[in-house]
Amino acid sequence: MAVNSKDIQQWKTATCGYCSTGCEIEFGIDSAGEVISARGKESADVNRGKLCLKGQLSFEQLNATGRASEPLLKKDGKFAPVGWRVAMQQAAGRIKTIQAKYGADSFAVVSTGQLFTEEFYTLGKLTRGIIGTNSYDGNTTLCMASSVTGYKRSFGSDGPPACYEDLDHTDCLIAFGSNLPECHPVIYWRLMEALEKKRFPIIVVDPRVTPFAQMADIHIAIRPGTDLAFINALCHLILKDGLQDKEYIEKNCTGFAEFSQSLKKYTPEAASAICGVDAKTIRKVAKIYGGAVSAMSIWTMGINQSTHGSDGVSAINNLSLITGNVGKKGGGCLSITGQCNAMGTREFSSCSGLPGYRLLESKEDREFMAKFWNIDGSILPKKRGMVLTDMFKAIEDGKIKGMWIIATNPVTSMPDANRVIEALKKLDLLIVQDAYEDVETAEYADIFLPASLWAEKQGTFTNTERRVSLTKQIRQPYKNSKPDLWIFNQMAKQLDQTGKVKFPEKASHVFNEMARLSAGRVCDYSGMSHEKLEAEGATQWPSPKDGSSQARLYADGKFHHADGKAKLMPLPYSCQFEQTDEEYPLMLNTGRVVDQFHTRTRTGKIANLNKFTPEPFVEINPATAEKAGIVQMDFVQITSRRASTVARAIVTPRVSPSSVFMPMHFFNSTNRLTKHLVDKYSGQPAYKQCAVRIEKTEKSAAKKLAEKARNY
Amino acid sequence: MLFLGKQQVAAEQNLANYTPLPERKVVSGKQNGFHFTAENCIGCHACETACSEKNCLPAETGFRKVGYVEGGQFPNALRVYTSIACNHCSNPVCLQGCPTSAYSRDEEFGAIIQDPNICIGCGYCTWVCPYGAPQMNHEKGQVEKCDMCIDRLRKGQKPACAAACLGKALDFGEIAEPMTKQLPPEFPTIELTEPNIRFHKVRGGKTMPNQMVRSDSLLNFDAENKRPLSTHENPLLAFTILTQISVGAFATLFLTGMAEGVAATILLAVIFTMQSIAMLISTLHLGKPLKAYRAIKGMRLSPISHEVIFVAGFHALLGGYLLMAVVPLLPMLHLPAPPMAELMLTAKPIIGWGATIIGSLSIFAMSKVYLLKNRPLWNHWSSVASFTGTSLTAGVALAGMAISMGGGKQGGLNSLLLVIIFAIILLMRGRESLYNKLKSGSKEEQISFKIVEKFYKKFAIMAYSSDILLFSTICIIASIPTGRHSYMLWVAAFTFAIIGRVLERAIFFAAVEPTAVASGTFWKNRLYEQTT
Repeated sequence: MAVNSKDIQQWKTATCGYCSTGCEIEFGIDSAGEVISARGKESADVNRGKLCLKGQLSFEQLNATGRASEPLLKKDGKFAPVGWRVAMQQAAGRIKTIQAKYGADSFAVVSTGQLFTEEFYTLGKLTRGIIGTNSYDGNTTLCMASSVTGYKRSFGSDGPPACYEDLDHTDCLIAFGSNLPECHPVIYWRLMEALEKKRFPIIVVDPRVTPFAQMADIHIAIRPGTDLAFINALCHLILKDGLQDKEYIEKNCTGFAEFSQSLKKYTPEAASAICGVDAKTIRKVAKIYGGAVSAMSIWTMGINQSTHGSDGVSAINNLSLITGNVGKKGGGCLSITGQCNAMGTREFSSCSGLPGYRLLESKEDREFMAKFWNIDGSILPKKRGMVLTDMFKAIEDGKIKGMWIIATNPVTSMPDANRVIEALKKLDLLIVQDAYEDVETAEYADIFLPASLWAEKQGTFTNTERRVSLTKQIRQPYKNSKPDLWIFNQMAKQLDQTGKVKFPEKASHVFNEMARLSAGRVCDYSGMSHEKLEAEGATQWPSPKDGSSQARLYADGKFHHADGKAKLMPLPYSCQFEQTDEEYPLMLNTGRVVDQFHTRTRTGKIANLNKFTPEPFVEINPATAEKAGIVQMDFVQITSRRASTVARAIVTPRVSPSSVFMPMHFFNSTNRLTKHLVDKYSGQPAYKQCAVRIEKTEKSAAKKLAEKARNY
Repeated sequence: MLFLGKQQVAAEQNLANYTPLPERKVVSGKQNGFHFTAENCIGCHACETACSEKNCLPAETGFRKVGYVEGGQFPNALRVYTSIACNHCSNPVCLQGCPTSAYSRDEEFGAIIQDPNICIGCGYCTWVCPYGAPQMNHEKGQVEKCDMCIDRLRKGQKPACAAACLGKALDFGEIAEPMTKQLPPEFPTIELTEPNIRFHKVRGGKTMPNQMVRSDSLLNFDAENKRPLSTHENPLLAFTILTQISVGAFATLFLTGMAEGVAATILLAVIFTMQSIAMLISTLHLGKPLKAYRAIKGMRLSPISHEVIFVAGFHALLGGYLLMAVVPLLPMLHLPAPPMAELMLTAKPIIGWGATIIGSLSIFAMSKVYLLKNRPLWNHWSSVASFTGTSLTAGVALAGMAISMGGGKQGGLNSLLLVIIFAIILLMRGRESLYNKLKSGSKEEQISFKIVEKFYKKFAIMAYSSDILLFSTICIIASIPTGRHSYMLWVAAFTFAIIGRVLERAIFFAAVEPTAVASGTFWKNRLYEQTT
């Protein structure tokens, strides 16, 4: 009898390169050296042998169609392979020309959350120290920027305080705008494991009936964008009922008086009118959360991607602080990150500051880094420059003339994507560096640099709970693609021939440099090295020289504001996002599906994943659909004040009659509709609230679009 | 209550109570199977994908299917996910239906194992399984299905899917308890196969909405979409109709005693050729045509084996009869008579009777293939009526055509007219009864009805009109005196009979709706496939 089994000769470990859960994967390699299988690593603390569907098939991305094989140069509108030497010379030469003509900041570097920390660090050194542009940001502005600023405002520094283990100890979990089962399935599994051992209430705040909302004990089907009013009402009730931790507040927080004053008007009734949640339920949640010995808050894009994302994060921090949950085992607040190494860029990329959570704004930090890197300190700007969401406007205004886009796909992922495409066309120079040459942004590139995928090189990722894990090369780079670290180093050589600034070639050496730099900082790496990570497994920072590691931050109540305390802030609710009207009566909510990742450059080509969601869809409430004469699987035209797109109708009571939901993964789809409206602190776009209308559409054009998505 | 806060508020909050299930143990020597807790399933596809990864499955197949039904009103909406693979049934209809004996029951764990190397790719098991478990791999021309990951079981591991579950929904182990009364919504009948899957509940408090809707329900599709009448079962359409005509035509010739003479022999040759083509088509329809001979291995249980044996038997006897019909003609062609010509001529009527009886039985064997409980459109006496009716209209009309061309005796022809009229009435009654049943029947029956109404109404009317025209033609033949051109009317009768039967059979294949477990939003979603 035939049994399907694979001829696996050896297993090699790498951390998953999709989301930031940080699952460790063992890849099975056959006798020909091909990677043919994947399984969760049993001894990995994060995933304990488990993987989600994307992880299970992650080896298939290595040979997926569209892998980039050669550096390309565009001549007369057509790409031709040119070899690395020519490509790098061209790139460096043209960067210099643009900067000479239009100033240092006219060349922008757009990074990602998908590279190794060593690569981010190297790119930061290159961009800050050699290229010297202050137009430097990553796509992390699209996902976690609000959390970063929220943490900074509350605690004085970035860094998620809690960890997965807290799930095992908590007495109450509240999740804001997080669809854990679909977006972070393995963390959800950790939650289920915890629930089997000890039952505690789960409260899910989400305008859509997600799988997480369904399994929750209490689902708060909040009106989109009104989370601040809800959280303020919880704080109001907790203070009113005396459920706060007075001692903790006194000892560790500032601003309480002003804060409690600001909460006065957020009675449950007032909040109810704003949020569309009845006052009784708000009272119940406040009682459960406030009454729990330890209560944990998690959130994802539902909070971050709004006009008040940073406020939302700080409001959750407020809630955790007044109940004394920050730093407490089973308590704390934890932003659940989207990209495998968004954390790494926060720590070491120098995008928003300088390595090791140093600040551009601090003279001391600038001088330190200039000395450490052996650069002229005057090259470092005195404050952070443009964020990603400002850059496309700057291109329109002629302030940015050249751009280097690394492992991100803004023409699909940026709000108001049409405008982004038009902007990219205006550039004198666009360099796109990606592992896939069919990434849609590459169409507008002048130079394309083929990068290797994560498992084709060595380096570390930091996951959501600050756990640093090592990925070792499990196979050779695809054709003539090169590790990003190599590309950055070559670019450095091209741009600065003095060799004054040292760029180590090996990732492990880069890591050691970072470890030295981080000693004594919040993200202390000094107790780690590649060798140690390989021998002892993934380790949470801070990990100081003694090699210890800390599961949660702020257990000692010491925060990073100058006074060592955390800030309680009044965060009044105000409605700043796009509003519906008669012409655009529906609120568009966007999000992920479990089987796709980001802009599908990887998952879209793995047939066993892509089959689950092969084309864009729009979830419509049955009542709304009936009014519009739409039935299941009809093609629907969705129109916002900016553009329109077509998607399949999925008629479902999961969404409210006044809103629709669309996945964010597809090119030429959801982000044509979304509005470029950003959080004032973080610059993160409000993807989740924009006004649209829907109508049934004529089939032929729609069918063509759908086919294009399917055959991607 | 398990969680106790500072103020012990939990008790009064009436949170959903949740009782975790013990982990299931795999017990060797006992019946094992899947245990599923729908309340915990998050539809994350980890099980499905682990299966694809483990078994190197192409994207078109999948041994496991995660789907959902949903109901309620926002925000009290509920999407209930299911994840169903092979249920390793106690009454495995796949095993019984397989003509090649590719299926067997594994004694160690109770798995129903299918060996793709034995399989010839007839696809019959994919028809009979109410859950859609066996999967046709078109690339390899064979069926494959879940084998419980028996290699993992032997190593003490659970099947890849159960091991991958992230929601605490899917487990695997001994099936010790009887089937629960309350099945997940839209789960197909359990009476037919006694599936070895058990469903569990962990939550109290949450009640199921009254009406649960499938995302793949064809009950609510848009009529704008086209649905072709032609299906990939076209070869079977040809095979069944040609065989039925052959049987009808031969039996008519033989029973009316008109299978003699040059014209009749030519017709016999035509029938034999037709039947050979029918068999060739059905063989080529298989995933592995060269292994077609294996199709009789399942003769103890498989309706396909029975069909093959009877049809092949009829074909052989028909060939024998044709040979014997040719023998007396040889001297006319100035050829020597073969040895034992005398004996052959004595055996001829025996062979003729044999072909008639075996041929008739083959019609019934053929209809039995389609009388499937999980395909309610087919599971009706009208299928038998249609198969028999094809022989009695088109088959008889073909014989009538030949007889009238050869200027045969009129008495025989008159009885043929009666047979055809009887067949038309039978066909019409069958169709009427079927349509009435579909209209008010199960969901699948209503879907079939709707498919016919929306997409094939025109063809159904054409088929009906053909029968009326056939009836009229027969009446005309009966009422006018036999003339030199009466064969023209027989040609017309045969043509109408053929048109009616082909259209009817095409609808039969195109409108069938099998019972199936619910699918997800896109993959294996019949509504999505319909509108793509």
